[in-house]
This record gives sequence, C-alpha cells and structure tokens, in this order.
Amino acid sequence: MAVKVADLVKEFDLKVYNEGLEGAEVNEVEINRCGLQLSGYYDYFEHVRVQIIGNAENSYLHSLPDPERKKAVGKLLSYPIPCIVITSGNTVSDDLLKEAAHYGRWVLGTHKSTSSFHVDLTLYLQSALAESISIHANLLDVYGVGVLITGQSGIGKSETALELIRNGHLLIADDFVVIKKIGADNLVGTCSEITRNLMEIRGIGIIDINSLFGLSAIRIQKNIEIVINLEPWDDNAHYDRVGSEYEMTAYLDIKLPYIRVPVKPGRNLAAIVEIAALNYRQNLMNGGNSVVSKLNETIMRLQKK
Amino acid sequence: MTRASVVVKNEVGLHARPAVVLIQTAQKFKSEIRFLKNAQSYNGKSMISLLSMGAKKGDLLTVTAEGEDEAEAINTITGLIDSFKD
Repeated sequence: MAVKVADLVKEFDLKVYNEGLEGAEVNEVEINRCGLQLSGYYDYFEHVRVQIIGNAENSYLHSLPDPERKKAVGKLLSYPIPCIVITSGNTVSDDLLKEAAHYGRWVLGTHKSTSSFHVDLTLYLQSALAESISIHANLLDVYGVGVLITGQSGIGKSETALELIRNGHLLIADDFVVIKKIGADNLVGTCSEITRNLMEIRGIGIIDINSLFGLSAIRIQKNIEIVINLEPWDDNAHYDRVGSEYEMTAYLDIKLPYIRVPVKPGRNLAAIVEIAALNYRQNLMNGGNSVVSKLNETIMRLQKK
Repeated sequence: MTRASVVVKNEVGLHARPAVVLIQTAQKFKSEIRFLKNAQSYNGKSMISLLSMGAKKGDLLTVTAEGEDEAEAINTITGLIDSFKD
C-alpha cells in the first residue's frame, strides 16, 4: 500500500505551493524534520519520508544569507523526497519554490503546528499504510470486547450476530471483515464501505442494521481481541472443559485467544459469545483466570484438612 | 485448487442482481469458491462479501475453487461472469 501525495493534500486540506510529480507517493509512516539536512548534514538521511519544515527550520532558513539558503534548499530538493510540508502557516521562500519547481517536488503548507500535524499525519499513515487482509467472519463489539466470529458457511455466524445485536451489542462487519495491523500488536477490524451496516440473513435477505436498530447498534471499527470459531458438534472432538488457558490463533502474525464453540441445536450461541467476552474481560482485569486458580486453591485447602 | 482469471464486461458490474445469480450458481458446488481482486479475497458464496468487492466493468478478477468439483465450478463461474450482458 502507498498513499499518493495528492491524497494527503485532500485528506489534510493542505495548501499546495508547488505541484510535484503526479505519481509521487508516501510509503513510510515515519516523518522527518529536515533541520539537520538544511544545515548540511546528510548522513542517515531518510529521504523517502515526508519532510517537515517547522518554525525552527523556517527561522534557520531566514537567518541564512541568500546564496547559502539557495544552496541548502537546492541540496534537500535534489533528493527524491515525496513532499515537504511547511507547518504553522509559515510563508515559503522563493528559493525553495524555484528549486521545487526545478526538481518536480511537492511543497505543501498547513496552519497546524508541527507537533499536532506530526501526530495527525502519523495516525493517518499508520492506518493507510497498514498491512491488511480480508476474511470471512463477523465482527462485533460485545461488552466492549472486539469479538471475531469465524466458522464455515451456513454454521450460523450471521444469526448469532443478529441475536447479539438484539441484546444491545454492536455490529462492525457481517461476513466480510477487513483486518488491518496497526502498530506492532494491534489488529483493527472494519467493514467494506459498500456493505457498511448491512447483514444477510438467509431466508430474509439483506437487512440494514442502522435503519432497523439505529446508531446504537453499529460501530465503524474495533480492535479485535478474541476469536470465536463456531464448529459443527463432534462427539469425538476435544473441547475445553476447564478454560484454564486460551488456545491461540494468529492474523498478520498477531496472536489472539481462540475459542472453539461447538454448535448443536438448542445451544444459545449468543449467550455463549457474551459469556466468552465477559470471561475474557474478567481474565484481563484479574491478570489470569481467577475461576480456575480459585478452584485450585479450594481443592488444595480441603485436601490439607 | 483450480484458478482462472476473468474480466467483468457488463456495464453495471457485479451489482445486486448479477450477484444473486452468481451466488445461486456458486452455492450449487461443494467446492469453496473465492474471488480475488486487488490482493483482497472475497467469499463466492456470501452475498455481503461479493457486494463488498464492488466489482465494476473492466475489473480483473481471479476465481479460485477448492474441492471435489473445482474444475466444473471454475468453468461455470467464469462462463457466467463472461455471459453477463447489462
């Protein structure tokens, strides 16, 4: 994934001082304040990053005599940088614009301060450049826990999701979840824009959760915290009977607790998903499974008598 | 696994009505059927998934099938997408 500089302009409503090459794009989340480079130091220069000229860099440039300023900006712009952003609404020197036009580089401006623009741009690039996959599953916010419901076609994922929505939980995506890796250990799930708030219930068709249940039943995105896999009941399979520790699965190399829930007529799946989410929260808040350790403690105590 | 590529030729793309026909056809097969577009994968038997793809005229799709009837599934599905007219 890459972000076109032209898209950054639209996203942040940036002022365009010089339009660079049309295909220029950003591939790195990190951002560079180019003060060191303007002063002539180019070791370890990450020219692929967005370059920022803040108040300090701007005032340094103004302090230089004309020929030196021309040389400093000329050298910076000779590198194939994606773009320069001048923050705090500062003005652009003619030298910079001349060199930018010469090399075909984007020069942009914003009224935001350097630190606030830095944060906003990093957050945006983190999401836009994130590694992503799409999977066949449902994603809900159950008691504040991001629950991904997986399982083969026709096992009842959407029906379980509908029951959860009726119980007051929130739908993020039905049947098609886009998962993005944000940062080192965070997975965020969202839906496709085309099918946002839509669900398909076999026998009824496509329904719009927003118009049936209102805004309180939907969310745009959510961190994924546990995976619940609905499986056909198999008398010979081993299901967790104690729940002392979670089996794990992984998406985009990030591990998540994986709970297998066997499906049988008469099992209230929505209730089981609710309990799994609550139980996960309890374990999280108590730093481990308190039920199992309490049970162990009781057994030990009684044995000592 | 069998795979084949197909270009969407009809004017409206894989909108609601062609998608319904496509799903009904895909469901007749035992194989797992998937569509790939721009490195994203979509389930060929799910209406929501197929609509999420938003395939429009000129899009290149890769169809994959895995299962006992995969060869027949691929032929039928690609033939069907090819046959969509409007």
